Amino acid sequence: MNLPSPQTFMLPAGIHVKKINATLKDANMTLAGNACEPEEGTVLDTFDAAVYNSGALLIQTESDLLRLCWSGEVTSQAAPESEWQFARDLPRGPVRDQLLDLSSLRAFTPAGRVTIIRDILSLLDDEQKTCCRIESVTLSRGKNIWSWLRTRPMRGYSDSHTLICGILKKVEKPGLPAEVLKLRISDYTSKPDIHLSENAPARTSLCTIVQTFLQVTRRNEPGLIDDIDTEFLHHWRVSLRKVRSVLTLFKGVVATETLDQLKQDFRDIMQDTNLMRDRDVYFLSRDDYFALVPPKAHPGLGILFELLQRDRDEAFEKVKAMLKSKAYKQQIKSIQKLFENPKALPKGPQADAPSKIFAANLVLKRYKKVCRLAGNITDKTPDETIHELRIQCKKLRYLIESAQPLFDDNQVKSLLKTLKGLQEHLGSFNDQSVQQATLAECLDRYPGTGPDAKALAESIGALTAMLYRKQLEERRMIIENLSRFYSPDTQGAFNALFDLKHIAANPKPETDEQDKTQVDS
Amino acid sequence: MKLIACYSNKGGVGKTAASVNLAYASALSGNRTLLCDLDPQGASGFYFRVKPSEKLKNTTFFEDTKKFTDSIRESDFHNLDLLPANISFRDFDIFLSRMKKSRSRLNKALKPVDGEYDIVLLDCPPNISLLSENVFKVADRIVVPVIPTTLSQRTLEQLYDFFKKQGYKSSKIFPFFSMVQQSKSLHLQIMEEIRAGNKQVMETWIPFSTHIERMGVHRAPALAYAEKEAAVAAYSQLWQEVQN
Ligand SMILES: Nc1ncnc2c1ncn2[C@@H]1O[C@H](COP(=O)(O)OP(=O)(O)OP(=O)(O)O)[C@@H](O)[C@H]1O
Ligand SMILES: [Mg+2]
Repeated sequence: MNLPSPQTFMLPAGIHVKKINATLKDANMTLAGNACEPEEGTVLDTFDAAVYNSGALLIQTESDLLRLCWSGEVTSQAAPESEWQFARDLPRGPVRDQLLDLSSLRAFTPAGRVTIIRDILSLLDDEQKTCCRIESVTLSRGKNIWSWLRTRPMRGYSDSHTLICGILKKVEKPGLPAEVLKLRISDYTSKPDIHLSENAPARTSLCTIVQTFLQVTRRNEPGLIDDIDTEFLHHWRVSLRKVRSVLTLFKGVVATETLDQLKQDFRDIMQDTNLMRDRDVYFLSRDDYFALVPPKAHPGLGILFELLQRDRDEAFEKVKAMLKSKAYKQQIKSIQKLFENPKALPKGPQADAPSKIFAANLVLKRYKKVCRLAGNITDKTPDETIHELRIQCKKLRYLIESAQPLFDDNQVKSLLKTLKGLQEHLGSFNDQSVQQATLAECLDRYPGTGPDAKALAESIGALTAMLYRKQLEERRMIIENLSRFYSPDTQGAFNALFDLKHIAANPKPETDEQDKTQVDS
Repeated sequence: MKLIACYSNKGGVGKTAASVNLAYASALSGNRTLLCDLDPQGASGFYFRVKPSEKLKNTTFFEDTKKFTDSIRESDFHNLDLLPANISFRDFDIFLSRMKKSRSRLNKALKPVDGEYDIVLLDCPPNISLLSENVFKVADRIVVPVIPTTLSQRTLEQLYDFFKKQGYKSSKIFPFFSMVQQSKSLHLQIMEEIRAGNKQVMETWIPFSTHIERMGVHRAPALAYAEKEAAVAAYSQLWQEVQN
């Protein structure tokens, strides 16, 4: 069966059926729509515009929740009856599935009101037989209108499809809905592009990197204060940690006293957020915990989560007060200011080293360090060494990510992928040991000897046992992943990218021989 | 792919009305359905507003698989496609008589769409011919509308005789009463007589109804515009019975 593929068209105006019909007259055909009532709708998206960046709009009307992918299909499900924020809160349906894939942790918030008209137009021949259908969505906001059409070809009528596509092609004027409708779609990203130049002094590059991450920090403040979703705190912390890491990792670029002062500042600022993040992590895997333990331990877990919720509420109030305080605002602004002008940043001995060579050396050294650690890990290695490996990997990750703009993007990405694979297991391993400690602490804190206390103790016991078992499993996975990370292939790739001296001496593409060069340990 | 033919050696008994509505009911219950109009008058196509198939001239129906599949048209209803007829279909017997294996040609012609459809309904012209012998051979079931009159009773008997003589499986034949007028005692009497002698007669019968008659005005299956009318709803019930 040779059915033509559906075509999509967009135009910054309404759909003029009369005008199209005038063109169809010669072909003895007509386009017929149904008189569809306009509906009011709200465009929803996450803080990082996950829906829009996936090439789609999420719109909720009184009756439907629909995702319009402008190069593809409209998916819809019945509008939820109650308020919702997260994909997981939605009733089961195809839109929920898509949103879960797209952004499972972020809240969906209004990005603007639109009036929406949905219709299915029929292209009819002179016997009123439908020869092609066209799905249409028209959105308007004030004077601005954006229409989207998608043909649904019918078997045996490819000529009609060609005809209507030709006509629609002429009225089409590509333009994305946000521009046309002047929708305010967030341009926030937690991974902004950073532009660095190879030969610029390290101090200049450092300032650029730090400034960029500090901007990410600042943009997360309002959402964190409003407690919209857990990602605000997470990104706020990660961006600050990145700043701190880069400052430390770019050894000798900033004057020691300045660095020490900054480290102290970061410690002060972040201190209050540790507990909140820790509790957030708990709540994110709440369902997993319940699934881990037998049903008879569920009431006890309920009590545990009440405790954790109380902690979380208190921690949040503290964080909120901190963020709203004058002291914080002054402190963060003065840090930002420090990096505005590279020349004014008190410098260390490496401040003027050319960025690329400087960064490459750092990465290579750090990688070798990780490999040395990794090479000694066996089944019997104590937990502390694995934690040390986790920290070193994290530093390596931050370092590579910061220096990424200076190197071949695709090659760096593939190395990062290998690294991330390993880090995931290291991260889980760590989470599980932190959580076991927290559980023990909860047990100590809970007063009394009543039936609640017993239930709590039992559920904590069950959970701890499960976490311990999972942690052992992660250990196995870490050792398995290590061999890949430590492999001659990965080592060769690191050298090929970051061993600049070697590359300069052998400018030809690497031979197999060089690929196998091992890092001396 | 199941092949269901709507056939009678008598004209004007409700074959096309049944084909169109059974095809609609089949599609509605989720089967990918093809209604194949074998009657040169093209009444099935007319009811679906589909124009005659221009490409299927002369022997192409039996010999050109690409033209055959290219002539299939999507109806306005989900899951329901149509192969429209044209006037040259009246010469099918002449073509068939010149072909080798002239009684297996229809089977071969339908091969390319095997797998694309769950159900193929055949709307047949009213005669005993080489084409209908193809139908008798290839169809899984043959539903036969019978207006409960003495003349129709005789025609049905003739059909059974023919099957016996030619060695076709008469177990494929499922008669159903069509255009029944309950006010006519003769209708009721003949229905009883036929049922008594034939276990294969369908429980469901289709009453005479102006809603069905008006299909030519609506140019759509009666089930699409008057599903709530008891006479029309009988087609859905008939489909359930045919399917089981
Ligand atoms: N149940 C019914 N009640 C009233 N009228 C009917 C009914 N069934 C069919 N008709 C009408 O009777 C006429 C003949 O019906 P139909 O075309 O279905 O018969 P047919 O067996 O296909 O005829 P042909 O042998 O010409 O192909 C049509 O005008 C149709 O609208
Ligand atoms: Mg007919």
